[in-house]
Amino acid sequence: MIDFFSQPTNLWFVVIAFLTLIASLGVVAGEKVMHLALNLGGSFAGVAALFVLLQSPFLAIAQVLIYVGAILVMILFGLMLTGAHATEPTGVETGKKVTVATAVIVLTALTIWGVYGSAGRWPVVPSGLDTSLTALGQALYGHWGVAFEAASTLLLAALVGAIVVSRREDDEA
Amino acid sequence: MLLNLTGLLTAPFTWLNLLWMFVEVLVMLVIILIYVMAALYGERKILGHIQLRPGPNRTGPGGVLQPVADVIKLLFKEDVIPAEADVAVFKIAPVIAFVPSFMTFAVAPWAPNVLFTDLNVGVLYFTAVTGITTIGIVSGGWSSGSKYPLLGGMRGAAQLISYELPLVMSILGVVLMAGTANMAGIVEAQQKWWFFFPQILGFVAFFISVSAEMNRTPFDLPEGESEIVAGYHTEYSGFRMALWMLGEYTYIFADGLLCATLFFGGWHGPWLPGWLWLLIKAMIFVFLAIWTRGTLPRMRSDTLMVFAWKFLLPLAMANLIITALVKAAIAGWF
Repeated sequence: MIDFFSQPTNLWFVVIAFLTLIASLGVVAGEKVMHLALNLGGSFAGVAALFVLLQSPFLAIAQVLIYVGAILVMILFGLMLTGAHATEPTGVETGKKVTVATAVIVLTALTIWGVYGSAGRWPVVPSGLDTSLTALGQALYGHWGVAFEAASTLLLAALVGAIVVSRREDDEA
Repeated sequence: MLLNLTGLLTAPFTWLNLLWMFVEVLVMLVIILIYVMAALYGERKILGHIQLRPGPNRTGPGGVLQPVADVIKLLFKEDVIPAEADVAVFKIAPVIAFVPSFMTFAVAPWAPNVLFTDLNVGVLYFTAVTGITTIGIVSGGWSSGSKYPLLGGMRGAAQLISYELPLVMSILGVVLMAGTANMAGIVEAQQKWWFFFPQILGFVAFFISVSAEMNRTPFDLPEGESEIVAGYHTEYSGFRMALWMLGEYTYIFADGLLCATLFFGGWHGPWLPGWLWLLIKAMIFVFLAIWTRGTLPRMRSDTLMVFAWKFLLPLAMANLIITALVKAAIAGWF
């Protein structure tokens, strides 16, 4: 254990992981909708910090840019438009809480068992991948070009679908 | 003059080096606080002269002690928290808004090898981090528990999201020309000429959208004192109000650094040391921001969105396409 903390990086990992978990706990345990959203932001930022520790600055920045800068802001904006003062408790029945808690505990146990059970069977080595922007761009638009375009088309279809659904409700009203 | 910061970055990550990093960040914070005092005084003086009045001239010679008086007044004021406020969010919101503005300084390239972190995606880092401020503005407006701040917060969110797109699009033109998203790399690519000249279209889109991101006149709709009192920070007072102001002025400085780095050759310049050139260029940007505030009226909220989506975004995209075509054509010739 002493060895583990002699590396500042490992200490940072423990601190950041702890904060991320607290924020994530806030997302599921809080009562005000706004607080849940802000805790979600903290959780996203914590994951981004973990990416930095893993020496993947691009992933960290993408995480902040997309999840904090776009998705969370959209969630907050939606909350503002639909009654941000929703302060009532989320009101989940006890039965559901028990089911969810059981599922979480079982899944966590399985994950821990999987991680420790497989320890040593697969060697842990740096991937050696080129993480520069140039390499990433060439991979996205070259080798994975078709998959990239397919994903874009899917997103476009989803956008158009959202507009169609919301407009139809407008006409009926 | 400045420490060789990259030497520290490549050094092993020990506790002593960590301490040094904290010291450096502290020094940067002090520099920014001094700048904010100067900017407060400069803004009041320049606005005064634009409006044919002397500006502050009673406190100290030429009124130079005015910002000191302002700050002391802010710090000694009662910190009012409205009864309807959501206390926890109300307290944290100005911090969420200010911290990203300070984080942007991590990638500012002051001179070769004088920068806090040499990130190969520095420009993206800048835009990603500034996006967090939106959350501070929205939650500050919401948590005040009153109507005008809520309106201001919503205006802020809509405006910042809309103008972030043309901003990033216009920056991409520069990134494409330099062939790197590294801030220092972009400056090095401007050895021969500033990107301002070939990227003039991109600069127009950049300058307008960066002004909108700063929430200042003519884009101060989230505050709009004649419409919604003071927008998202109506209910704030004392030290928390000072934090909002600090964030706003720090952003002008940070955006000035970004502008100088992307379009005006960063540290390049004759005679003077590099960091001074960057500072001079950034301060010219700060002056421009104050000048536009004193000259232009506020935009109407209905024209604001149309302008971003139907003029700025197409302009930035056209610039990007032209840059890509020209770059491909040149690559084809040689």
